Amino acid sequence: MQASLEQILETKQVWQGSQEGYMDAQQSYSSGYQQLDLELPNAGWPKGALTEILTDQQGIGELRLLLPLLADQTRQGRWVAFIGAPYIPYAPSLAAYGVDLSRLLLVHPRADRDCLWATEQALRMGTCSTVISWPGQLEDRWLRRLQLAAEEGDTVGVLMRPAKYSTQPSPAAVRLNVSKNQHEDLSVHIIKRRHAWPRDAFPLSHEQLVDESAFSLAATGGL
Amino acid sequence: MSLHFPWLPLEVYSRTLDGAEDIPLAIVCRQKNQERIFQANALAQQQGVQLQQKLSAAVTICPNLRYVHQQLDQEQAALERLAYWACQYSSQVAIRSPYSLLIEVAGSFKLFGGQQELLRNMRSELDGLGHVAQMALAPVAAAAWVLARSHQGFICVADRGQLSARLQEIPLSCFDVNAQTLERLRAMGVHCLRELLALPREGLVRRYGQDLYDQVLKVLGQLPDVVDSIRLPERFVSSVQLLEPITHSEAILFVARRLLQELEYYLRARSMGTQCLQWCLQDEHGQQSFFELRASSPQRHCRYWLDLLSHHLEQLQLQHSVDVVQLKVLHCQAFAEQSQHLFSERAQSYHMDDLLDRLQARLGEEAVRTVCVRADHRPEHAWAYCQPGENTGLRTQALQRPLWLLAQPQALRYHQQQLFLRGPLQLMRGPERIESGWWQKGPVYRDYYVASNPRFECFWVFHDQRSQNWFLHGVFA
Repeated sequence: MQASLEQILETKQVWQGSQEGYMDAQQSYSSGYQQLDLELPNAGWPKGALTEILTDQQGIGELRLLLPLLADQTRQGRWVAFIGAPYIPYAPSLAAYGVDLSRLLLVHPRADRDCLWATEQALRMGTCSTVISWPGQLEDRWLRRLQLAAEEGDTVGVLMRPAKYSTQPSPAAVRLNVSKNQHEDLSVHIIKRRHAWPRDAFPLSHEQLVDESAFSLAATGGL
Repeated sequence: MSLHFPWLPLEVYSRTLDGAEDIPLAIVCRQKNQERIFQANALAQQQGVQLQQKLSAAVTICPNLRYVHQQLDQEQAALERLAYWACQYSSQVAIRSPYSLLIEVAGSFKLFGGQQELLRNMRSELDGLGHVAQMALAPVAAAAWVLARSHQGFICVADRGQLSARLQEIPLSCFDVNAQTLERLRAMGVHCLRELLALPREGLVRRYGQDLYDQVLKVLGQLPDVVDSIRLPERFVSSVQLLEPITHSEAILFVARRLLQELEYYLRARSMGTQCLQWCLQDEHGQQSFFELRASSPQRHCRYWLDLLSHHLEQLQLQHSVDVVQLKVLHCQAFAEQSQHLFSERAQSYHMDDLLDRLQARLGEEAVRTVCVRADHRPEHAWAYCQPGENTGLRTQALQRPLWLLAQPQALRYHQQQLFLRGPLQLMRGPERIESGWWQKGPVYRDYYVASNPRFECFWVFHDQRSQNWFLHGVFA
């Protein structure tokens, strides 16, 4: 019995769920944080798919999580869009973090419907490499539509949503619940990620930023 | 080549109606104080309406007949638009009223892939515009004109040798002769060109004037015929008068499609594109409303503008019912066709401009922008909105600054003697004094602090020295 099981495993007729680091042709962009890269599938924010960042708190560093990605993308000449942001992005801060403001697009829709439409257009057309959106209330079918739009445009789509939607099923490739329980580090709880089991909360320090020169290496697909 | 549009009055009328194929239509003209049917479409003729019938009789026979008086200015405008359409095929296009165009196509065959291909293109585009044309190709312009008027469908005369043979049997009604002369010739038994040529020349000239004889010579190619080509106007203005007022903004799309198609032909003829379309919607009382559609780069294609227009119409509220839709294009710019990638993975590749245009068409121009840095130490003036793609390139030092700024500083509440924002606030870092100079407007005298609450949220607050109040200005996201 055992011999035949080994034979089956050897001839790779069974896929094992415990195999992490499943590599495929899909690329991703490095998040800039070493520990986060280790936990994310393909070592980075997934391209052509949605990422949800769920949080109940404001001002804990939820946007700083994405800053290395924004800085890297805009420096390489790719566009980044903010759709329906709750406040005004403070230009001197962004510039100080290394974001090239000539590749930043801010969209201020008046209504929720317009916000969803604008997010879908930006994701689908693929001219922005990264789209960050604050969609408000999202029905299941809209989540599906946004996911399809991200696939079509091969865009990194990030949805920032309140934490109460953690239990809502979602087709996003990665779902993070971000919170802060003490002064220094951010606590990242990966609720869902492709090709792996969810990960319990782990601390992420802003000092864990990867060296600047390593950014452009990591962006060339799944290290 | 000559294109003859015998049904032009009806086509001009049906351009304004939706579903014109299912309605009996007629054009009415005034003859000797009586209104008679001038033209009727197939459906009306099936139901018994005949040409030259009195209007009252026609309406009795066909009760749901829709008719309108002959609109000569609309017909002339339609003929001009057709001339602009024809300009994409040739640089020499002339209008010969009524209802005919003369186009010099000899030089265009090679570019458009041969005679058959050219004719096929022309026919299909005319179909799209809603016109039926009789076409004739001949080496002599006047001969082509006469041939187009006499034959339905298509006729081609390859060279001059065959020309006089083909022209012999053409009835004289196809020539430019007035009714009286025609009647007199008919009384003499002269019906076609062959019989006319058999008459002696001096008698003909003496009785009917030199003009008739000159015309015959021009048709045969024995007298030079000077044809003036039209010149394309600098501006494009076209409008459609609707017979039934529109109340829904989506219905404008049907009318707009025709206008945008005409615009595309005009732009193609001029080899240019445009960045701004001005639309005017008018109701029956003369009330007008305007809107513009803009593109970041010159565009020519009808479907691009139609796409932008549909996005704009989705959020447009009509203030009044629409009777006339007018499109104006005042400025044209050089247009470069975008080349497609040879090995592109995606079916369509977009540019950033396309996304910006689409977002601006639906959300408005002020909803799409970016921020840039300004040299000012006051936080609310250290940044400004600007157009996407612009950047001042300034960088400040990496001071402790938040990522989010509030548009207006928000007053903080007190709760049990402590500052309160989603929890009692504790000041962590500060103070940092920011003061403005006496020469600046909008004086600022503030002490800024970084504050956090028991939920570990970080905010940027300040204590205003003048009013002694506390405000929230930023969030450290």
